[in-house]
Amino acid sequence: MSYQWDWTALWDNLPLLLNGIFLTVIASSVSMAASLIIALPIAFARMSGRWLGFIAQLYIELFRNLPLLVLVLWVFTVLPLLTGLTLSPLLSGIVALTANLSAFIAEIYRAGITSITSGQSHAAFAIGMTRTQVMKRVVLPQAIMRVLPALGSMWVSLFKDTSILSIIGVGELMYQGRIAATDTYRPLEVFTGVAVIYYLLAYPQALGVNWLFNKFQVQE
Amino acid sequence: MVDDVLLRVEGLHKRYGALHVLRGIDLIVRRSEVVVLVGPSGSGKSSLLRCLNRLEDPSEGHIYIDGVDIVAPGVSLPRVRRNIGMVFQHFNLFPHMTALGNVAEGPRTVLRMSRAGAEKRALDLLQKVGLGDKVNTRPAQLSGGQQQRVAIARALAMQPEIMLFDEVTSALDPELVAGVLAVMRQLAEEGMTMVVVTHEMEFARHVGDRILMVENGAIIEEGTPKEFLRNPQHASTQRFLSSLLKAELA
Repeated sequence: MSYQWDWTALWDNLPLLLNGIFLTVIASSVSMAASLIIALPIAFARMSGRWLGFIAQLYIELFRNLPLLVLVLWVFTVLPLLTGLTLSPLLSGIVALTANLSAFIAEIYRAGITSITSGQSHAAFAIGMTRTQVMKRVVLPQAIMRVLPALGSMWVSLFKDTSILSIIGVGELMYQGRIAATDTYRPLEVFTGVAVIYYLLAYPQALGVNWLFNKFQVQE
Repeated sequence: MVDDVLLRVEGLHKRYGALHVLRGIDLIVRRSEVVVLVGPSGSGKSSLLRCLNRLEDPSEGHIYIDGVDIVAPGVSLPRVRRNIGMVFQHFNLFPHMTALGNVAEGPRTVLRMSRAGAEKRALDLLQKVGLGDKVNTRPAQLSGGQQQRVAIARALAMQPEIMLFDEVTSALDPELVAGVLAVMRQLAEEGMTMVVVTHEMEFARHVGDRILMVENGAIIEEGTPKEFLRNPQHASTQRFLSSLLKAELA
């Protein structure tokens, strides 16, 4: 078999793909930032026990166990019918990604917080700190350091998962790749190019996460 | 007459479910007094100490500090604990802070002092415990003995009226014990009120004003170090002291 590779299909569409990268970065960073923030109250609610804990657990189990693709389609198609609220494809995608990611991150936070020994909070209480101060000054800083590698891998996989948003027409990298592939009839070259771009973007981030971890590792 | 009683414990009980670890403790500690609690492990010494700053909630009874019942409902625990320093067996330093950060943390976060003021106080205390050169060192880079002295400085930074020591040398290598005990001895000489749980009988003999024997959640004997060590009345105390002596000779 001899296939004639024609890379001009890729080069010609590079501006389009670069555009896609921009939306990929937007979708992943907004989802990540939102998830990092809202996962914290969810984690605390989950640890509080009683009905608040039950609600948090429902949230976590629901969004962890729905396939991302289903979640994205559901938010895009069903949510507007239920709420009368029409979101742009990008915003729908961000909402879906955030629901999914925040469920995972809440569990990561919880694991980090419970891994800090009771001796640490005892020592903090003993010098007269309030619960909030103990959390803010002693437990959370150590817990965050401890879960940084896990958060890093969540970020890297989120970055790649944004490709799912192409299904609802968000013009990110994968979406632009599909357009370029159809336009040029050169899917092999274009998708190879897209794969290489994803890899080149994701790998340094993974390295960065490792570097961050080594630099800020808390020793005990 | 000036009431020099700083700490008064009345009828203190602590239960964990069916387990009855403190069975009616009565105790008075006067200002500048050093009270040493001894007894076999599991006797309730540590539970007693942890009730004194409410790290544990007593099941029954009263604890008065400066005449204020700290078991009463509505009492502000952070405020109560400011006044009671505690040092733990396993140091429990904050690993993400330097030695200076650990000591300055209380003044800074709890007392809301300025950074400069808190760090000045922390530096003075680190010098006092002989660690003026370890200011910027993290706990992981310090020996156990050094960590424990930082922990003492951290408690002192709140300028408490009373200090609680919970087996603070038990986790240390033997050669590091002396440095920690020396700091405690100096504190006692400066007039700090101290309640000390320890197995260091030399320390109890020379620094303690009174020694109390705790067994099965009750104080079964007490006396001055002289009386207590020379002439223990209770059979359990005699057994306990001779077991410590054997351990030392072994």
